[in-house]
Amino acid sequence: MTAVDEPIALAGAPVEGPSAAVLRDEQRRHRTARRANSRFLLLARLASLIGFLVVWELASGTIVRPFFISSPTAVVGALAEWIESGELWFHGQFTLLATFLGYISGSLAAIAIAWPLGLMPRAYRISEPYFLIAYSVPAVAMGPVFILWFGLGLTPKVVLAAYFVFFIVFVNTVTGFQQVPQGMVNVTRVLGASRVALLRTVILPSALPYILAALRITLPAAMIGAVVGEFIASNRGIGYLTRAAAAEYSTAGVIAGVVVMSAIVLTMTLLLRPLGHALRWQQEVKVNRGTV
Amino acid sequence: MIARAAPRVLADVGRRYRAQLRVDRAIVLGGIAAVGIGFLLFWQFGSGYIVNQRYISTPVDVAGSLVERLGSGDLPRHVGATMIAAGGGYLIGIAVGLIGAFALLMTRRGYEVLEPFLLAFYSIPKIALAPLFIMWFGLALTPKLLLAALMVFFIVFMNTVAGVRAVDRGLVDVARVLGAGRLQLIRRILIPAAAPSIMAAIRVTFARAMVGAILAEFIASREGLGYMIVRAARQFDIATVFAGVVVIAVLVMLVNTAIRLVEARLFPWASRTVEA
Repeated sequence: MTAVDEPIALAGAPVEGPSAAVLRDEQRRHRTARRANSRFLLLARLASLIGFLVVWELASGTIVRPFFISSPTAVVGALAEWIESGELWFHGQFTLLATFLGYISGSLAAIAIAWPLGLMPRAYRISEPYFLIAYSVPAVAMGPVFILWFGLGLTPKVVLAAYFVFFIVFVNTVTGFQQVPQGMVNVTRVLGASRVALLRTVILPSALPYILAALRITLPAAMIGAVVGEFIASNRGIGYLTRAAAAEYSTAGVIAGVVVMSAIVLTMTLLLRPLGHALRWQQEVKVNRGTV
Repeated sequence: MIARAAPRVLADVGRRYRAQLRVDRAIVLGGIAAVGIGFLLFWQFGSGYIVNQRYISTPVDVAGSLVERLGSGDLPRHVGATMIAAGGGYLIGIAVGLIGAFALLMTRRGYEVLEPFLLAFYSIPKIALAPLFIMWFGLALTPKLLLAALMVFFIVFMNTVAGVRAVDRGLVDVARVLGAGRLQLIRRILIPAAAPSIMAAIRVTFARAMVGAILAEFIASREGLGYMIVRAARQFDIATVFAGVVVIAVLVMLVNTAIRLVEARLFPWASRTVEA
């Protein structure tokens, strides 16, 4: 809550005389304060991280039974074992494959359906109630259905991942096409733009931020879909690995699985972050995140 | 001449416009009905030509399964179990999220220090914790409740923090100068000003609580809608699976409507956006 405010200097007005010295002084003090502030933050963050790990390690086996919380060293040990035996890579590739296939097919399907609907208001109004109904089914609930339809292999995970992605991209794509400024469309038409030109110069540029924003946030959703599929029924994948560890009452293994999934999600989020800034002509848009 | 004709022309235009609106509305409503009925009819009679009916059942069978389970008391029991877990988790998640956010914001630098950890924790797929919770707490209510609460907690927490941090500094400073204490500051300034973003979180999170409860039931449980669906799926009873999905959708829509009504009564000024 504490923001160190920049001392005010009027733009364009060169400051001279004694006030210049005061201003310089003030700016120097401000810089020092800011440096001290960021050093404090870094130290405090490091301290709380180390403190957390140490307390966890010490509490395990003394205050709380290791069965409940395991310990940092045990978790690292479980991770190392997975890496050494090649299990992590073996299971990871299935989860990642299902995630990417589902992400791509889900978002392509969503854009292909939402594009025409976003541009045809009446067709959208007719189909809207059905999309709302389908949207309010928690995607997780479709897991057993897809497994029943497609068996235990890769397909149900891909479909589930695609389903997790579909509605978020769909809703945001429709919003993107619907909020294209009608005045601008009319002006462009009056000026004689062809359909293609209209699409390229007006409609896409103003709808694209919504679509890209949805694409940016749905990759983690796709992975959650794939993992849910693996939780419910599968014989490989990170979700299976985690569940198998739980079946053996290996707390360290379960926590290691959670750590792996979180690391994947974090990496995806960081990798896709530039997508949000790719379009400099529009400000950040509000994204509908759905209920994943 | 013109002055005398104008009202008539205007009335004419108005009439024609209204007629057009009526036609438009009739087309949309008719279209909605046609799509819905067409879909059900095709599902009932036509789909057998494309896919084996065993995979997709029929609307009549789904309705039959619903009625049968309603009659046997099976469905109410499962709905009750899921709603207790989802509803309880929802309330716990909201309460803990609000209290946690305000407690953290009352410390001078707490939020700044913990921010990276909170973001990292936020990015953990919460459902990944389901096996852990089940391992810890068994098959009863506790793991479902916890998972539902956790699904809700972070959204409420993050939205509250974002809402409070966005409160106009000037308001806070003026209230302080006028001698407001901590509690007064929270009650009079921070909560009302952050209400829109808090309410937005509360509004959208029931479906997430439902997801948490159902997922825990999928993995391991003895009652609840998720249990009913998974068991029916194992028996290849696809009509019951769809019946369960329909019930879940109806429950989510009902609760969301109720929340929206309550919200419109309590906080008519709160706008409709989510920050998290």
